[in-house]
Amino acid sequence: MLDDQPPVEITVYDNGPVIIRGTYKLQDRDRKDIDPGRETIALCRCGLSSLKPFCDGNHVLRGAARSAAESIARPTTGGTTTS
Amino acid sequence: MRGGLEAVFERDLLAGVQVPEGLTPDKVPMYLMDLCGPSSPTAFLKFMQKTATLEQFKELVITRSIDALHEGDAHPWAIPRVSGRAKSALIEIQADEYGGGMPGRSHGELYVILMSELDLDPAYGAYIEQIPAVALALQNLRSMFGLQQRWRGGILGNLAATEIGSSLINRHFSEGLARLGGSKRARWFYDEHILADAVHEQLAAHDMCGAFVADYPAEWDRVVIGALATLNLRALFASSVVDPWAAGGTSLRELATV
Repeated sequence: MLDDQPPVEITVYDNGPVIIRGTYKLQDRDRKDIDPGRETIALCRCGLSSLKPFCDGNHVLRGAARSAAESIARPTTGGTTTS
Repeated sequence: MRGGLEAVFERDLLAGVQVPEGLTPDKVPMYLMDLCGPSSPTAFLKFMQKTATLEQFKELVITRSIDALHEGDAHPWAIPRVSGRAKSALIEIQADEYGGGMPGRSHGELYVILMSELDLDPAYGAYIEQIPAVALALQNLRSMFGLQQRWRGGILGNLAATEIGSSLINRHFSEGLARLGGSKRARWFYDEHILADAVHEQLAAHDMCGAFVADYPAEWDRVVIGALATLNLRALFASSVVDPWAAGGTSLRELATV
């Protein structure tokens, strides 16, 4: 490769999953292949996913992002979540 | 004509939307994650998951069709308008939205499958007369942001607001449709989004919006305004569906007989 791109790129997101790009093999503990059905995957780091080892966005239920934004005033417009 | 109507739309849409005090560009990614991802499932999501009837579910599928059948189509307008890491992240998300170029796998095509499995007409606009106005407003928001250079930050904020928290939303819809007897094929649209948007929300918040606010500092607030405006309209959309149901009626427009 002309630009020294590594074959696998692993990116850790604050209060979020690990995202894997590139050429990798995903296996369970018995070394059996897991087919993610997609190229770029997000792996669960919070333990709340219903689709482990994949992230299913459930980390928002822990309010993890909220603690990081606590110092920011809430918007003055109407509610941001539907009811 | 569009310009005149759009000026009114923009004015009303943005009235009262303002960037919170104390927010700075470096905090935008985490702010978007906090703003757009609910910390607990909303009553609407729980209703769709556990209570909605098949008719109500089909009404929601009809109402969302004006957007979902063309999923992703408004955001590529931003591709030539931005550069650098924001452009790369936008393309990475969009490539996935279009099924990686595989025929039959774009998210819009998966919505066609959903509608067909529910015996609904998947032709775009088939239900235009029955779809509530606020659903059309959500589409108009996207085209307004996407077609104007000065709103390139807005369309990115709109995309972020669409992706963040989407996995949770789609899981509730998938489980609701399963409860109502929906096949795995019918649920494919929702199930695909659970895994895809777990990736997309991080790319949208950090890689795309994070890079944009750093590389285009004069326009950083447009990202936030885009996200806030999107959420406001989405809340109105949810009310337009839930309120008629609570009153025992249909969420679709009923045409008067002549």
